[in-house]
Amino acid sequence: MRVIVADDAVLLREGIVAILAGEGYDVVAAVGSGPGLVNAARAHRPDLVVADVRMPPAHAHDGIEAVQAIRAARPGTAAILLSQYVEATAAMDLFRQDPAGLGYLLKDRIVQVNDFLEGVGRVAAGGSAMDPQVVAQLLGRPAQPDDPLAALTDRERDVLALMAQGLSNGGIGARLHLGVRTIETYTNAVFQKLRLHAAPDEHRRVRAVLAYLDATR
Amino acid sequence: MDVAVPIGRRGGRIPAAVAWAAAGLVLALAGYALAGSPGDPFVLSAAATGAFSAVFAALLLTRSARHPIGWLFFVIGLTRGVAAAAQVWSVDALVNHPGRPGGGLASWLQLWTPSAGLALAPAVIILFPDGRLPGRRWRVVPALVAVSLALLAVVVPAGAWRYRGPALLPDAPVPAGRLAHVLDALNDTGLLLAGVSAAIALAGALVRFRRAHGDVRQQIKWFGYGAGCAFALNIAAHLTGVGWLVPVGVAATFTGLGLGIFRFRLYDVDQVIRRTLLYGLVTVVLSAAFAALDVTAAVVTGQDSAATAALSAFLVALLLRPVRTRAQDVVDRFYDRGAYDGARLMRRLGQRVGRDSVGPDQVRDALRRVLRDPGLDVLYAVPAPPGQRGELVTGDGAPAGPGGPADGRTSTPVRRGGDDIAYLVHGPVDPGLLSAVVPAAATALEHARLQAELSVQLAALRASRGRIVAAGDAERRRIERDLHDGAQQRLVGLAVHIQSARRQRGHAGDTGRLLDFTVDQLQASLDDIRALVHGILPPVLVSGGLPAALAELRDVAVRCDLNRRPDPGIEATAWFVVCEGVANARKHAAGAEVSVRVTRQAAVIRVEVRDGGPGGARAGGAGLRNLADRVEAHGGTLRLDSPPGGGTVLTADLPCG
Repeated sequence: MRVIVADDAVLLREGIVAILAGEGYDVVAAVGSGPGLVNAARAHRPDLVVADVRMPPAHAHDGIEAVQAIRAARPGTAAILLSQYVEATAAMDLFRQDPAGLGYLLKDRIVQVNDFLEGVGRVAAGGSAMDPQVVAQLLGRPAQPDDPLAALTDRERDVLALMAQGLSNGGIGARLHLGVRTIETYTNAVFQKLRLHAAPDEHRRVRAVLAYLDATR
Repeated sequence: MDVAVPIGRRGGRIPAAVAWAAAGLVLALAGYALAGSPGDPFVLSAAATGAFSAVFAALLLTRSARHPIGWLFFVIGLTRGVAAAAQVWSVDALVNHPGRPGGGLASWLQLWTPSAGLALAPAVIILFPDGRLPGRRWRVVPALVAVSLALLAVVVPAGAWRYRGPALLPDAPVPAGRLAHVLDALNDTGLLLAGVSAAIALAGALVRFRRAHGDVRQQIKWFGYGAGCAFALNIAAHLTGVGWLVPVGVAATFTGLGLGIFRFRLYDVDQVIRRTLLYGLVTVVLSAAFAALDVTAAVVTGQDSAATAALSAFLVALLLRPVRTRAQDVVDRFYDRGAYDGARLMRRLGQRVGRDSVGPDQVRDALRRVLRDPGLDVLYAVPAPPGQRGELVTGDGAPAGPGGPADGRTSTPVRRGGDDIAYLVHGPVDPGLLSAVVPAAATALEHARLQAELSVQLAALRASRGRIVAAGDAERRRIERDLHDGAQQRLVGLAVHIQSARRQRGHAGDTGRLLDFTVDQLQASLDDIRALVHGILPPVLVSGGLPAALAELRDVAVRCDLNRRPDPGIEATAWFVVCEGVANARKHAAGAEVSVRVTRQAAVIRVEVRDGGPGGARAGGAGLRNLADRVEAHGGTLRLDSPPGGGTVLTADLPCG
């Protein structure tokens, strides 16, 4: 798996490169800016991009824009955006376009290397990864009157929250200490209440999250 | 018509020479008449008017050879002079020293020459000051003057020539015969017509005065002032029997006329008239008081002594001040009602300032009303802070623009205690009104000036507070950036490197635990920094603005209607209002619904944090106090509304240019 790492903080960038290389990823380039990332992607045609949101030259959403450009040129390129702080609204626009193979993690998460690598693995496989803190914040908002999520039970909301982080039914079951069958019952209930019927499971999961995010906007 | 015609030096020498020759002749005739009959009031009056008229005519014709008033006075002067001399001569020749020559001619001349002046006087009144009629319809006056002049100076003299001699002397009975009676009737008719034309001419002068502005008005006032003095002095002469008051009155008339035509800009006629009326009134009242007291004292004590006179004088002296004040009031009211009322209104306003709230706007509006200038503005002189120049500000403390008043506007200073405290910027205003109202308004204006000064200081204070808060905000942003881009990144990098090393080398035992401990501590440090940064200024607020920052709030319903980002200071303040409100709601109304609403109405952003808690909150805490300071530093207001049992609403209104 070919990976490009983009971050303007050299220490952190080299750290990420070391961890990914240690896990057997083929880090083909490490750059420090938005345009640098776009150029490197054009040259190396990576399978996965790990990019800081805030980078030179604008120090704003350079990372998001670079990832958008790369995915527009080569759909299917997986990407993980790293953010220093929760700024969900900006990243959500990206998720809304095509959530498959996309991750949004806080930089602090990298310190928990196992969690970080688990997220990277999921995204590299075409899934999605959402930082638990972002999800917690989104779920913390009070329900709106016309909110389809209002119909969910507390347990169903817990399941949706974990689903939003990108966990599989098995993963969710492990976290909640429940059997996979039970989780499937909950996820189906969630899909039903959010009126998501005929679609492959993977996409339904992502769209459930999106429905949730839209409702809480 | 409204433009004063200055008397230029456009004249021939011949009319001037003729006029001066006539003046010399009249003076000689008057001198002869006064020497011959010093006590006769008619002679005195005729000699005085003749002499003054002739000299005045000569002066006027020297400057303007064709001025109709000059020629009128030329004729009046001559006829008066002749009348005075003819009276003395005729009596002398016919009564005192019979046989002297010319007695008949003199008696004939003294019969009609006085009437000629009477007939011409209305023409002077109607033609003053520029020698033209006030309008076409006033041509009736010269017509009447011509008829009465024809009767008095042509028809009657022609018919009376045959009666010359003792029969024409003053107080002689009308000679027998129909002609004499017809002539007598014609004379009366002429005099009647002269009276009628004088009345019409006075009406014309009044109309001219009412229409006139500026200089012409001043000129007519001078004339009226002189005539009024003459009238008063004539009455005084009549009452007291003091003959010389009559020529003094004549002198006053001509002084008024002369000032009116030649020197009307030299003095403030209104001031002169007011002073005259004032002192005249005071004199009359005090004299009457003295007389009444003296008589009373004499009756009571039964003797008329120097002691009673001294007592009366003492009491009258005590009366001087109150009488003067009261007389001033009466004169002001009588003389110019508008100015009197205006000055009184402004004085009342000045007395009210201590009790009621009389702001600069009210003072300005009152001045606009009183001076009848809706465009009037007041600029206040604000003393200079140390090291700076004083400046002029409007009533709300805004600096006045550079440069003087606009075209057609005048700036009138208002003085108080030796300083110019304010300037009235106004259009054309009656100078008498202005000079009466401005001093009366000084107290109210001084009060308004202090308020304007306060506004200036408040604005400066608010600006400085705003700068301090803005500097603090900038510092917060700098610290936030430094922590994020520096310390945080470095700590994460460090932790990742340690983790990487740990995984690759598989350290076991003590080293492995030490590394795990280090990573845990790094994670804790990162959490600390995150919390710290968030308290200083959330990064998402800096990068994404208020909507983005509010979107990150947990357990809070947010509505944010802002079409564009306000400036960073306002944004940060709005954010802190939300944080304080939400934190308080979580603390005191745990579990209750919390909603945040940010809306913009015109130039005000309203931030509202509402909870459904128990209410009863009071704005006593340091957090709210600091927040209010911050809001007020931006010129905004912070309100806490928390009725017991009714939930709590924290509202901030922030002005945003």
